[in-house]
This record gives sequence, C-alpha cells and structure tokens, in this order.
Amino acid sequence: MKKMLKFLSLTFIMVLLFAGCGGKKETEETTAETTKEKVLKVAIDKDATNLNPVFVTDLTGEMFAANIFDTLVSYKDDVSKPAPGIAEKWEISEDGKTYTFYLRKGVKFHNGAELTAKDVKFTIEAIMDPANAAASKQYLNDVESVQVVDDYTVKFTLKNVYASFMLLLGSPQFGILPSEYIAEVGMEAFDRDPIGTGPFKFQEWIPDDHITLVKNEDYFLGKPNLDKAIFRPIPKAEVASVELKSGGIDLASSLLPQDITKFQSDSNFEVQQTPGLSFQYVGFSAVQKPYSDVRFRKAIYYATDFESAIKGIYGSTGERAYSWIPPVVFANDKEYMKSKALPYDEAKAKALFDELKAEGILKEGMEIPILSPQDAFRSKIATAMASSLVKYGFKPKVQTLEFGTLLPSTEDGKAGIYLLGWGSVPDPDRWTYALFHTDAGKQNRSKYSNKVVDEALVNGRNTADIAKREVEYVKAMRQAIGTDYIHIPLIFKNINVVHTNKVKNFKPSPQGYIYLYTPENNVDIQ
Amino acid sequence: MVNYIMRRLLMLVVILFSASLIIFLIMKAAPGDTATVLLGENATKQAIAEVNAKYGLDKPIHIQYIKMITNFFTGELKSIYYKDNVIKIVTQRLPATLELGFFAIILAVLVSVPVGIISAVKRNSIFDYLAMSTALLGISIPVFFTGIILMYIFSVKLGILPASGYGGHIWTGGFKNFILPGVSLSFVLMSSTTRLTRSAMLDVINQDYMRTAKAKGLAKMKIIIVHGLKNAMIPIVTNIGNQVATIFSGAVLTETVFSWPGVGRLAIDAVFRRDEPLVFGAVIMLAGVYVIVNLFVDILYAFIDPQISYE
Repeated sequence: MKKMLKFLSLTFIMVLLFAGCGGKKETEETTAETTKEKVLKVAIDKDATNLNPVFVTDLTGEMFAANIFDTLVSYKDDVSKPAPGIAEKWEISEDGKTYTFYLRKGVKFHNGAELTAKDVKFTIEAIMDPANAAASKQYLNDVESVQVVDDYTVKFTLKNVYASFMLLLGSPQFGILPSEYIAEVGMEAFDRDPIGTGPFKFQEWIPDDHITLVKNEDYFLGKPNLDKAIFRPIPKAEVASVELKSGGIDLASSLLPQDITKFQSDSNFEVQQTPGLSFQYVGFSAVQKPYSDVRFRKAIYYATDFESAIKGIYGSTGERAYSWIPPVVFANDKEYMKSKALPYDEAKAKALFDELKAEGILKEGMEIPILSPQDAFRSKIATAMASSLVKYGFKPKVQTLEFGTLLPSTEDGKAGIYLLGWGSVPDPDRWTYALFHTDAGKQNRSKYSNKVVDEALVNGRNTADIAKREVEYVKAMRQAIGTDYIHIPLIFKNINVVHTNKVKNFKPSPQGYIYLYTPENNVDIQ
Repeated sequence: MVNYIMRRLLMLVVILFSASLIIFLIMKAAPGDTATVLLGENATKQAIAEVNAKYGLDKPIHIQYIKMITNFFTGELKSIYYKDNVIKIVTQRLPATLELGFFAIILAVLVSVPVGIISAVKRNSIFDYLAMSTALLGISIPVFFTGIILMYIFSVKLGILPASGYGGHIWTGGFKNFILPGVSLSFVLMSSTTRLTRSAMLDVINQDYMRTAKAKGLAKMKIIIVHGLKNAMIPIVTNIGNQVATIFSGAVLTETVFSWPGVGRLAIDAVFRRDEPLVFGAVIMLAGVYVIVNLFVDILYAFIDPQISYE
C-alpha cells in the first residue's frame, strides 16, 4: 500500500513537472509566432456543425462559408444591392425570368483549379439534390434550369418572376463548390476539409475547440491583411467577456448587454453596433379559441406594458419593432405601424376581457399557456405578460422550452401564445411570405389566413419593380399586424461587436457575420 | 480474480445494451424532431419529409433501433449534424473529458485526504472548523460560479492563467489550461471526500488497534497513515468511485463554462439538436467508461483490503 501510494504520488509529480515545462515552451512558441504573424482571435458562441455551404443551417456555418467561399454576386459591403462576385456582370431578361451571369476569368480554388460555369451548375444541382437534404433547397422551387453556355457564362431560367433571386444567389449557402474536387472526395468529406475561392483558406478544425483559417494570397479581389484567424467557440457570453479582457480573444459578438455597456466605457475596446436582420415577436393561434378572436389579442396587447418591458429587458441591444420588415429592408412603414401599436391601457384590456367573458369565450380562472424559448430575453417578456394576465383573473403558465421541443409545439396553430424569432436576407418577401401566406406551410405557425394578405404577398413576390412591391408589402403588414394583430412585434435586434483597439477596419454586418475581408473592409490587427 | 473480471466484462455488454435501449426510447419519447431542428424555422413540410427519408427517421421504431445499434457496433453510425462517424466524433472528444476528470479526481484526492486526516486528528480545532466550512461551501457553490470567480482572479486580474479553452493534452503543453477547470471541477469531490475522510478517520482513531500501536511506541505519523488511513480507505475509495459519475456529469457544466471540447458538451448539444445517432453513441460510450471505472474501483478494493476476495 505504502509503495503504491509513493509510486502514484511520484508519477503525478513527474507528470506535473513535464507538463509544466511543456506548457511554458508552447506559450513561448505561440507568442513568438503571434508577433510574427497577424493573427485575429475571434469568439463565436457555438461551434460550426458544417463547413460545406450546402449543408450549412446556422449563422456560424454561414459565416465560415462567407469567408472560405465566394458567391456569384456579393452583398458583403452593401446589403441593399448586389456587387460583382464571381460574376463580373449579369443580365436579367425583360420578363424577369432569365438571368445570365458572366464569370470572371482566372478565379482559382484554394487547390489551384480554375472556377468555371460547370462549378456553378454543379453547386445549384447539389443544393437541389434531395440526397444532400440542403436547407436552401426550398428556395429553388422556382428554378426551371441552370445552363452552362460556355466556360464563363451561366444561364438560369425561372418558372416565375422571383424578386429576391439575386439575394438568394448572394447568400453564403450558395458559395460555389469545386465540382472536380468534390467528385474525388465526396460531399461529406468535403464538409470537414472544404476548398473554396474565398479570401481565407480552411486550415484546421478541432471540434468545439477552434477553427483556423489562413489567408488566400491569390484572392482575386485583393490580398487580405490578416495572416490567420482563429475562431474559438465560447458558449458562455460571460466567459467571452473575460477572454476579451484577458487577451484570450480580440473580437466577440453575442455578449451580454451589461458587459457591452462596460466595454463602451473602456478605452481599450471599441463597441460597434449596426441594425441587424433578426427579429422577435409574440404570436397567437388563428385557429384556436380564444386566441383566434382579435379582441382577445388586442386585450393582451393592452394588458402588458410592452414599451417598458422591451426597454427594460432588451436594453440597447435592439430597436422596438412595430412591423415585421426590418428598418434596413425596403417597404418599411414604421410611422403608420407605430400608430397602430396598442399602448398599455388596463381599462381597455379589462373592457375587452369582460366582453369576451360575457360571451362565454373566456372563463374566469382560465389557464393560458405562453410558450417561449429558453433565452433570457423572451422568457422574461413571457413572464411580464403572465404577471399582467393574473390581474384579470387568468392563470397564465409560462413554458420555456428548448428549440427541439418548442418548434413542433408551435406548429399549425397548436400554441395559443408563443414567442419566437426570425432572421433572413434583406428582402421583404423572405420576411413575410412564409409567415403570413395561407399556403406557406409550417412556418405560418399561427395558421393565419387572409385573402388581402395572400394576394399582396404573391404580387410582391412575382413583381420585379421595387416601388410596386413596396405597396404590396405595406398592404400585407397593415392588414396582418396593424388590423388583425396576429403577432405583437417586439424587437429588431442590433448586431453588437466588441473588439480590442488593436483590431482595425472591421465593420459588423447586419446578418451578424464576421467578414475578415471585403473589398471595402480589409480587417487588420496591430 | 480473472473469472470475476470476465463476469463483470460480460455484464458490461448487458449494461451497454440496456443503456442503448433506454436512451433510444427516451429520445423517441421526447417531443420535437430531428428534421425540424436541422432545417430550422424556415423549413417546409416537403423538406422535412426528405430529411426524414434520408436518415430513415420515417421507418418503424424497432427498425430504427436495430439499424442504429447495428450501425454503431459495425462502426458505421453517422451523426446527422456532423455527417461523420459517431465513434470517431466521440473518441476525438473523449480524451479531453477523461484528462480533465482524472486531473480533477487526483487533485481532489491529493488535497482532501490529508485535510480530512488532519481535521480528524485535530478534531474541533480552528483548522477543523475552517476545513469543514470550506468543504460545505464547496458542495454548495455551483461550478459555473466558482469558474467565473477563478477566471476573474487568475486571468483578468493576475493574467497568469488562460481563462478558457483546451491547450492540448496535459502532457503536451496544455497543463496551464487544465488548472482553472480542474480546480473548479475538483471542488465538489474535494468537499465530499474531505468530510468522508474525516469521519472515517474518526471511526478508526478510537479503535483498540490504534491504542495498541500507540502503546507499542510507534511514531504518530506512522500510526495515522499505516494503521489509521489504511483501514479508513475503503469508504474513501468507494466514495471516489461513486463520484466518478458526478465528475463526468459535472464536466458538462465545466466544459460549457470553460469552452472545453469534451464529450459532455458534445452530448448536450446533440440532445438539443436531436442528433439521435450522436446522442446514442455518446451515451453508450460514456456508460462504457463509467462501468470500466467502477470495475477498476472494485478491483482496487482487493488490493487495499486483503480480506476482500472475488474468487
């Protein structure tokens, strides 16, 4: 026994000594390397699950795809209009159904192969192939054919006019893939070791620890300043703040509002804010009583002091929303929609609840479930709503659920009151059609149906003229939100990025992506 | 002994099979579905049906189970999210979890056993009170709180240790990264082992053989270590063995707080994403590790106490 103890202690001490020595050496090497190379260390809130753009389903994956791959057109510097990407120019036919893209010559993949029209066709077909189960496939229903005209010309033919088609082609999931290389390694192996044409090359992925990208010296749009970028998944926002302060990382988004305020007053850091493309709301069932009665929905709106709750809970992390269409997207009808938002008014709420009680639609002591995700913001809004409903003799019940359970529980009008969010590309179609059109399917969680809205959404989708589209979307929102109150819009979230003063030329994007290089913003570190 | 080990290893197969069935049924009983989480809020019904067909999620439940367990044992089970082999994904993460777990256990034993002995020997002294109150605090404070406080002191204020992340194996230069998560994780075990060592030693101290040893004129140190601790070891080792599960389940929190690329974090993320094959594989493999550690503890008994025999 004594011998065993002695042996164990000795082994442990030896291990510690060796490990200790090794640690020092490693740190010295890393420091030397860092001073030589320009390395940017970025915190991300979760690890990527996929790097192959076709498989990507989340913001993190999109962000990597945007740095490793290029799309036909680019929205990196301006989300309101397409800039040349792989295609240097394009033509749209008069009927709006044929798109011809002229590709740049000499664009090289990271393995040296040249990108041609064949790769573009391959990419679109890979997204449409059911075997790949791509989340973006559903947006290509209007595509009739993709045709390779010659090595540098590709033609898309659509079944209908699809106004947000260019935006779709500029999304990171549409990053152009190397067809020959994938034919060799397969789609799934490519996911772990991707090759694109983008400003940064994939170098290493240690799952849940870090992903390293290195600069592409031969990038066709210019040479990146950074030599390397290391992305570290840090799931706790508090820890990301600690890492920023201790120098473990240089840049982070998704920090807590209270930490952002502290960084704002610290001269060693810069806080950058931009209106984002994500939104949160309260939804009601349109097929289940009493939620389907507009008087009930209005009463709920009057009963809770949403103005104070949103200010108190979200702080400066976003802007109060009155409609679904974000301020950075056209068809923004803020003033009118704001005038239709219902103020906190207990008397009006009581009068409406009493009216519904008298008609037998509501009962005293009725249980009202409110479904919310587990995040700190929406669960607090749900609690604020619940505490106000108690005053009117109801038994509200807040259920905070993780997404795997919450999403199916809110489908098909099953949930009476639910809190959810949305995020999309900057086109009003993607912010409305799926949510409010009768035939939209599962995303229309409220099962809302209104002829005026349906007609406006179809017209908006199949018209190319922006002014005409604007009229349609304004009409749809005024009806669904301003008259039917099928949702209570809460907030358009801002993108907040905090970085040390050493980081230069960084600009946050409304989508929340961290672009390491764009023609206008070539990120650098001193 | 060999027979005993063989029997236990055979039981391992039964345990793993039961664990696989239980976890499979729990996953199927849980609300929510893989395709919805995979495709996100924007998914259409058609897209969901395609994903279900691709991964065989539309097949009858018993077929799904048979397929999952066969694929696991033939090494062909693939994660729906990572699109990679489940065994490969878990074994990639397992070393980080095991290293951290064992580091925390060794640290806890090195601190708590001596402290427990001193507390027992110097019963009701200031040292004893201080040690016991610290142990109480250790049991009560959650890992994420200890973690953040340690980070603030050692990373932000003193700047001597990295706040989070895995710097490589403990023996290849990642030692510094092990200190904060290791200390946080070891707190819980440290506290319970200190209290247990103290009470086990108090039991032993009043035994006749201890008095005999003292009467023989043996040195105090020798009496406590050779005659005292040796007899108090069984409950201490049992406790440490039982706490292995606590260490691994506590590691989930520690791994999240310290951004540690371990199997606990992987499993939790897989549960939230409804990545059924990955949850299945991770649970079976963790159950296997747990059973083997327990077997090791049982074998250790025979070495500590010759009266225990497995023949």
